[in-house]
Amino acid sequence: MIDVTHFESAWRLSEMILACAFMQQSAEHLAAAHKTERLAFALRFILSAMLLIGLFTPYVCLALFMLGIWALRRFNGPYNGGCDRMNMLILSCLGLMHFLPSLRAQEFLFGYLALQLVLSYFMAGKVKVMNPEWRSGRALQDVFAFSAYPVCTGVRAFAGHPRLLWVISWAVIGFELLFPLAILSQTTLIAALCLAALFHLTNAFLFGLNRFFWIWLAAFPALIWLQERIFGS
Amino acid sequence: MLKLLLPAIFPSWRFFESIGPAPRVEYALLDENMDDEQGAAHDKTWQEYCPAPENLSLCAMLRRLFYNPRWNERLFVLSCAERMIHDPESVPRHGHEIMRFLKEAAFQDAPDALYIQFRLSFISREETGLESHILYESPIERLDGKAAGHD
Repeated sequence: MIDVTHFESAWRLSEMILACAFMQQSAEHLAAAHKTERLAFALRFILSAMLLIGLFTPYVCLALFMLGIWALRRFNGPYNGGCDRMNMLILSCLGLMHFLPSLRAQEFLFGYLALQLVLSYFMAGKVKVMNPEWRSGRALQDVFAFSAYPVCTGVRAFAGHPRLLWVISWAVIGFELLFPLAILSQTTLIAALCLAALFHLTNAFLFGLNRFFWIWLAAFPALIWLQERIFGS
Repeated sequence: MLKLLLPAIFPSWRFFESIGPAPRVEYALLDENMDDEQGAAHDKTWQEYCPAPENLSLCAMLRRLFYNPRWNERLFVLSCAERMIHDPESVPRHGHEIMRFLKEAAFQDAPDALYIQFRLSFISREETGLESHILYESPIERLDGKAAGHD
């Protein structure tokens, strides 16, 4: 059993989940891309497998980072929006940690990753609560009614339930805004991370945002470690 | 390069800040090339790129959790459409990208088609209800009988 409150274990677990997320993404590009892209993502798949089993990790991270830069240039920005940004953020932090001279510096960077995870929820909640369309439930109604995300026409039927969507909007806003408080105890943090995983899973099912589910999980060990580091015995 | 990398290292996390007009990419397969005037008069059959199905089973949704290349391609193509409208200078670059994916789709669905054109429509909520506006129509391009980029 991995003790995620232990620094080295949390770091390694983050790397392993990141590797799995990268392998999942790379497999999708192997199916659809042109020859140069197929080669690049085949290489990314192999490097990710090496990261998963812990082979030459610092140099694998560096190579994956270079491939990430290539992908950003190739697609003129992120291929999949916030997901690709999270890819690079997690990879940059975990990879750079291998080249830092002290444990203190490594912990600082891992803590930065945990902080960014917290901000990813809190800032999303902040922009929603400041928008009257989100407060009224209209924004979520529009997401279902005409945005490009619903995975099938059947899912668009949710747009016809404004009261339900109002409740869900406030549930999401409340969860996102209160998320930072979850780190006050390990129990509340685990509960909050379970809710967060459920949130990402729902987005994957309803909107096809599968990559977000896997990549956000990769940052969870950093926050579990940080909570113990700050508040633990 | 820094312009691409910095938002990744210092993200803003402003997801779904507002629900703006939603893009749709549609393409038409043509038997002949036309100038703008002829093209405007010609009755083209537009079809949506990678439309969502009517329904999806729970099993299908679960499978897509692990493997969903076509949907992610679609989301990327739609993001290119948004970038074209928000940054007119990027029209050639992102237009080329969209055309690349459409040619691939055309090669799969109608390998004998000769020409292709796409347009971008955006759906938004107006006072009278949902409305669609066409904001861009691409030049007509020739299909060369093989998928773009395949060797």
